[in-house]
Amino acid sequence: MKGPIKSVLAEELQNSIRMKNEYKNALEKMPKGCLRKRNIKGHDYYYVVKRENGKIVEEYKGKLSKGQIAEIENNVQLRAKYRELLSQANKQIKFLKGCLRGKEPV
Amino acid sequence: MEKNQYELCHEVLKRFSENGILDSMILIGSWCVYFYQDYFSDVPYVNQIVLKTRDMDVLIPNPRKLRSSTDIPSLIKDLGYVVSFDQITGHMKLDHPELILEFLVPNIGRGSDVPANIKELNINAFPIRYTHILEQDVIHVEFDGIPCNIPHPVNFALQKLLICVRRKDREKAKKDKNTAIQILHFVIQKKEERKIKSVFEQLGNKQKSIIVRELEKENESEIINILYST
Repeated sequence: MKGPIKSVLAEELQNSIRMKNEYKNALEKMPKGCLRKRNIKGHDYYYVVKRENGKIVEEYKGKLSKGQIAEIENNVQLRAKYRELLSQANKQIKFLKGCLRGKEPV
Repeated sequence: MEKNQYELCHEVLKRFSENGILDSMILIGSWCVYFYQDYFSDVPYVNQIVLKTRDMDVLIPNPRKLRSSTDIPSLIKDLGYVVSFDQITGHMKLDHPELILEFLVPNIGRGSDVPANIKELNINAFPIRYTHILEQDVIHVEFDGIPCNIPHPVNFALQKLLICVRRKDREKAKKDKNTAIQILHFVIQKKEERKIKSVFEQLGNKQKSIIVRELEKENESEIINILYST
């Protein structure tokens, strides 16, 4: 028997592992990159800047509506949030594994 | 409760409340122990008698009577929530490193172990037994200004005693039983013994015998005497 504390920690470890996978999947599905605006001859043109195989790539998007800009910016914010939460889940997994291990195998 | 968890919990409940869905929900599970601190303000109550996990269980007593429809996953997506499904049962959870949300519905009739889809909220909810006991007497507490529904502590404790025998995980069963007994002792300290007896009397004979058997195993003669007092 694990005892009440270990049992709760083991449940939380499973939760954090599940969460880590969910955040990874969500990040893979989301479009990468952030928006850059260039003003050329009085007109605003947009580019999505992202890193591909270690190189910085600018993808031309042209003129965008306010709705499209807001959508891309929301995605950027959500991606940053997910990355932060993925890191939090990773820290939790490390901590919980350490707590559960003690002198026994996990 | 940690600051981050507290703030997230507050924000989620606030959004549910603003969208008119919180009053159709009852917060159940180990989180109730935290919310009972107002109810037990006149006795030396410890809101951490149980190690609560990050899962907050939300009971939707009557999904057909929901007054408004809200897409819950979209409503809290910007807080960083992601949707996950149990690979075996298909039960949906809304995951966040600070607070996990899980939805439940009453398991009535022959029973089912398949999650029920609630289209109005764009979620699925897992059916659980004995929720009628929780719905019988709902008390209203305020969580930092947000009105929440939670079961009366006696109903909560007796339901825990009933479900602990159905648990496959022995540790969880033990945790349920200990929580229930401690809550009943706080009710006794609050001099509400009659409430324990009245809720117990409304149960069926089979349910009564389960409760008494579980209390006997723990030598809780004080509570058993209350149940059979005249």
